[in-house]
Amino acid sequence: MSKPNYPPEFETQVRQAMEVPEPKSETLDALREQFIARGISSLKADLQPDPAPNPFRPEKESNKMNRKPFRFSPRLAWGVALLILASLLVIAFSSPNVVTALRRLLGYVPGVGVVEQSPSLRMLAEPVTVTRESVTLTIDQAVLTNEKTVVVYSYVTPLYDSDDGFFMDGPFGSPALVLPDGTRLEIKTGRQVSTMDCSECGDIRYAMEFAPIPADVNEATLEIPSLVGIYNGLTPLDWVIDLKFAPADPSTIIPVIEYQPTATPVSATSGPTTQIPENYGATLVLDKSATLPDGYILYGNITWTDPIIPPYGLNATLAGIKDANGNDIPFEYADEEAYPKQGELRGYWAYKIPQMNFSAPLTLSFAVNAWVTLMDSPSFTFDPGRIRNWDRNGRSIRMWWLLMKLSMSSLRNRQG
Amino acid sequence: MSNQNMGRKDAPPNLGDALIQDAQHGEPAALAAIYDAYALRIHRYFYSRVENSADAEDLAAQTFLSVIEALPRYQHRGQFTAWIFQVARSKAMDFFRRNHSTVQHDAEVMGDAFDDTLEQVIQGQDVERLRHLIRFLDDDERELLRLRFVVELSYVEIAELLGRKEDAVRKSVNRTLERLHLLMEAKHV
Repeated sequence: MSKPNYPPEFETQVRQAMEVPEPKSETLDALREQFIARGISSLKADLQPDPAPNPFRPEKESNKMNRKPFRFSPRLAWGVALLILASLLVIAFSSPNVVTALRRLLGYVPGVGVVEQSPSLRMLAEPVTVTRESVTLTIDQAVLTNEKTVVVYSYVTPLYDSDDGFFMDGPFGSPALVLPDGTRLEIKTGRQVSTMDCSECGDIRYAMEFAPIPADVNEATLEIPSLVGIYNGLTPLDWVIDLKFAPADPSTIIPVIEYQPTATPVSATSGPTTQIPENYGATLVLDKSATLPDGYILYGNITWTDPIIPPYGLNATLAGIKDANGNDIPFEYADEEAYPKQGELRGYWAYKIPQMNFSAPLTLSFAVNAWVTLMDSPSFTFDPGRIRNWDRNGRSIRMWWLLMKLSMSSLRNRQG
Repeated sequence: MSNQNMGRKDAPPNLGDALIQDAQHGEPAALAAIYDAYALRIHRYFYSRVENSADAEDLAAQTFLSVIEALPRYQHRGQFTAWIFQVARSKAMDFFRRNHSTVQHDAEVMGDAFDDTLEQVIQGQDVERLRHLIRFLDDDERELLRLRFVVELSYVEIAELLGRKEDAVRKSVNRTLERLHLLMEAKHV
């Protein structure tokens, strides 16, 4: 290619001439939170429609089969996965002396989660069901607090043949609540919620969060351009549903106990895949619990201070629960209802214990997976010797077992 | 190293197959990595097109929401940057289709600049003059410069995005820059 007929610095001038102002960091952060929350709720594999092969999304099926429980970004080219620790967290529901409980005005609403209680708390006056083209959409819950508005919908569709699937590209649009004066509240975040307490709900139940609705407004119109968790084209678009709200019935709200910080520093054990006796400043905390009609729900989080583990790089998973007599207690995953802020070294967890009969205290054991970023790039050299065996494509078919120890200073230094 | 604030840097994203697949499964870390890699550049792209923050932010939000919707059917072949900017460009086109007045306004601004301030353009500072001259380019030329110098896409990425050959893109950018440079030089005569 011929040399450009302008001086190299001219490109710099063009860059300067086309320079645009940077967006506000709070704008970027808010959209980031929304993007991640929306992605989690919309893309999690269990939200996708039927797993039958579909010629329009062949890549999805193979991905599902290979899905791994947790993996951090390959951006961490030298990241190393470590099962670094298992920890114990002791909880005694029947013994308030073990943990210091602080009762606040928090309440648990099935399908919505933990909400701040106040005299102005309102809920959906009655569920609303709309059927279009054999698809039944139900708005089964709404909670209006001083801080937010949560609206929950679910839908039931006929069984689709896999060949029915087709895609309609944009415009996709976002759900919104329109108030009687025309004020439009765009969705802030959304997430899938459990259908276990809702026998009428379909497979997908989706909670959307909007800005608070003024206390004197008891009606709104919900607009849903396209249903979550199903491909456009399979269900009707542009749902418009009128909603009415009424003061909350206190009997429908379950009290939540919020605990003062009683952190249990995570203790390290040497797992089979690591020799690193390091806890990375990790601390496990039980935040709050609620007594449900059929069990308990627990919310907590894990934080860490060591920046070698990036945001989202540490994952606490409940491995088992034993009661005071050593009996295994069953548990189920629950909605954490929270995501870390940008750059925050924190992860949330939530579990439901679906039974009431056990001997307190309970001991919860967590497995914690961490992905650490190595500050150096280990390398090595070796002499393969003379290569004699080749396959028909000219590739060597010899194999060497190197059995080398690689020095990774960023980790070695931490072992002290 | 933390991935925090990666969206505020200009480093080219290095999003591998595994990360894209994770994002398609709603893994928060992968979604965060994608956002951090593209957020700033998407905002810049839109601001460069609509020339106001409010619309640029709106369009960026629409783009990322559409990315979520479209991710399940994205087939990763190493062209994620081109794909995500295709989504962004379609949002921009929708915007201008919906807002004819904005397009008109843009044209009026350019017309005014041409009619009324040509003398100022000639006598102004180089960068300012260059800014005005860039306004006189046709849409395709400005889009090429925008993708190259505002969004900082590589020639390969621009070629993938526009469905053209890399060499052709490189030549087009060079031709446009040569023309701009000639115009700049001419003003000095």
